[in-house]
Amino acid sequence: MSAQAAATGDMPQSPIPGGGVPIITVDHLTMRFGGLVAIDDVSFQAATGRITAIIGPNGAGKTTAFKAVTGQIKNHAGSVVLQGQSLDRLSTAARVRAGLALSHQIVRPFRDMTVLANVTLAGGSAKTAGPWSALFHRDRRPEEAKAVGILARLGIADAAQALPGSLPLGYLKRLEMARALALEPTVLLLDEPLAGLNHLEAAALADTIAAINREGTAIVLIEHNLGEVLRVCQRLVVLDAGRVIAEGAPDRVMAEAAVQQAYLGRREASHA
Amino acid sequence: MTATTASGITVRPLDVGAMVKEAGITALVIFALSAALVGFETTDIPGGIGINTRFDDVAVVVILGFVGRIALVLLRQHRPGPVLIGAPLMAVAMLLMLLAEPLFGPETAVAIAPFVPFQDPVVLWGLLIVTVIILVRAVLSRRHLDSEETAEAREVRMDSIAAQVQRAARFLGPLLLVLAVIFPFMPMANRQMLDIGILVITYIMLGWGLNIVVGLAGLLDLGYVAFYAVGAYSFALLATYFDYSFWICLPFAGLMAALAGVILGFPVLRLRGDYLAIVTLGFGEMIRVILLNWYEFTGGPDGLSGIPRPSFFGIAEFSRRSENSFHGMFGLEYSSLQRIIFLYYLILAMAMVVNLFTMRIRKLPISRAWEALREDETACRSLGINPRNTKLTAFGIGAMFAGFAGSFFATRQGFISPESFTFIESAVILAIVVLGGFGSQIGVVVAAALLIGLPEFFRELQQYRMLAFGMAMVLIMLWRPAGLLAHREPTIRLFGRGGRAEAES
Repeated sequence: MSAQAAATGDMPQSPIPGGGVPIITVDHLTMRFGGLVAIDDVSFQAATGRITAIIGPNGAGKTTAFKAVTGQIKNHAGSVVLQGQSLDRLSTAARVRAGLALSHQIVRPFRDMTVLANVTLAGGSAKTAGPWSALFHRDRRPEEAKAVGILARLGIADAAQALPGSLPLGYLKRLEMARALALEPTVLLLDEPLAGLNHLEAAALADTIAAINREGTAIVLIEHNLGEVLRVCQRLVVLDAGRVIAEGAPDRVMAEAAVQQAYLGRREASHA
Repeated sequence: MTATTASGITVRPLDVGAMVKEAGITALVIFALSAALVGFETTDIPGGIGINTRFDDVAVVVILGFVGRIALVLLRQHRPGPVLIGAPLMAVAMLLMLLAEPLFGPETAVAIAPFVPFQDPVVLWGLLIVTVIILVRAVLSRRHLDSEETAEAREVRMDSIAAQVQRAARFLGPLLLVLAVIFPFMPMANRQMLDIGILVITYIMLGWGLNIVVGLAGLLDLGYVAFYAVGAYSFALLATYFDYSFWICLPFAGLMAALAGVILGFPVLRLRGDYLAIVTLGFGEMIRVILLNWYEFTGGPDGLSGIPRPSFFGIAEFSRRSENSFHGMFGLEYSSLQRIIFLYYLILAMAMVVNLFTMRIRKLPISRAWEALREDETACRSLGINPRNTKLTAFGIGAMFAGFAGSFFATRQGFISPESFTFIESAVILAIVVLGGFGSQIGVVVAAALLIGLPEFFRELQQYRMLAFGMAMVLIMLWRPAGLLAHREPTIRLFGRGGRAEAES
């Protein structure tokens, strides 16, 4: 694949394609499920203070790459580095404490707790992380105040006292993000935050994501909604069939032939 | 052709065939179950064991099952009429059979004896209770037809009753505590009552301990008794070998049990749900088997005896002849009750410490981490909560409380053996938690009083106790699957009880 060679060929260490300083570096990552190679020798970077979007057709390996970064599945080869710290040997919980925060594609709120309690729990992650600190802290007002602020920022403060079960998906998606934000992460990883929303909700949430990013949080998101992605992201990584086929500034990446092929279909001959 | 009543319940035409078929299947199942178990009875005859057949009893059981099932089907179809006639008739018949002797004299009792299906009055009483339950349901169903209450409405109403009880618990709790404190000085408090009280409070304490593991952290632990055993044996060994006093051994025993909880928990807490339950069950049995076979250390099946009784905080002893005896110190007459009363207060104080600890811990971040873990482990991981360590804390704390209870058990009995720590104990403690409602402190008290207290009072039921126990559990599962007092309230309210209107679900 000549396009891929071109994409990796012009990838110097710094500055990274599309500009910026790397915050997460995924290096030669390979994941296999039995005989199936889900992602094969994938390398890409996310930049500080920017939104990096990972896109690609279904089955391209986006979610697998995401899970390898978050530690939900163990990678077979390669490494994930967050600001110079290797994450490879850490569990998901430890990675979260190291500064990653993730939101799930399928929302997973704690349904027995109110929205505010959900976010407060995340805000107190420093206290709940280890059993000892969790046993000897009482005061929750700082976390609560923080949670109220985050809910307001995400525009769901009106549902603070509601139970998640009674809320529409749009709220839950934002709750998922609020919980991740409450962890005060260095990098926010969002797995399809716009999936399942109508285009008005999606546009509004994409604006919110952009606003969070403007306040300084680096964001990595996986998304199918190409229109919104191109509108808000500053870096684009395109995966296809388990490989990175392009990486860099969105307008340049989208102009590449390999990307257009992956999205608009290609001739069978080149596929083989 | 369907008729709809005012309340919107649709009464379909009765499908007699389906009804008889369903009742027939029930009768068949009952026959299969009872043919061997009830149909044959072993009796001692000279030179061995003979077999008595009781097929008449089997026939009666099958017929009763058939009739009962038809009644239930009718109720389900909103046709309580026939049941309202049949059930009272049967109840009256049963009552007459039971009370024939006191009402009409022994001659009548002897005369009707051949017509009475079961000779054992307990079976008749059981049948009577079932009949009355069906009758009550029929009456309720009849009211249903007229009222507007649906099944969901009933569920909501029951929940609100549970919520009210829980709200009342703020007053009920202290009230119960005051009652418990003055109990030994009540006129009715004799040796037997005090012993029952001690037993009930021990189980309340165990229930509260397990409630942390099962109710708060959501880890189904079927081997809880193992930690009870570890506590009891640690206490007994320390007290007999090293001659340490109760107050030194107690924290050590708790610590040992907690340690056992953490060590056992380490490998098993990766498992979830049913798998965890099965493995904890296995570990519970392993501890017992170890105690049984490590003869040099634990005395094996002979157990450990001569465990010292607790002294009055080391300053006085409860014995008739002693240098510094309790009655001598306070200028009282010697009475063997004094030690029982002391034990009673001891366990009461220990239980209250456990309760206070639990109430306190529910307000701490760890409790919220447990609650979150109970719901969604994956989401917890993404909040930086280490599931294994957090679960271990719950396991360890629960085990520690079991260890304390075990110490108390050892010092009260003065003798322990592996026999006291069989699986049935785990089951009973778990039943107390389930029956009371996961996570409800006052529910555990109610359930322990029901499950431990009542059977102690009804010792005559001995052989039917487990039967009644099982029946109670089945009924609870049918009617209140989340427990008697289960009304999941947020442990913490952020804006006080009133909160915001939409917060009320």
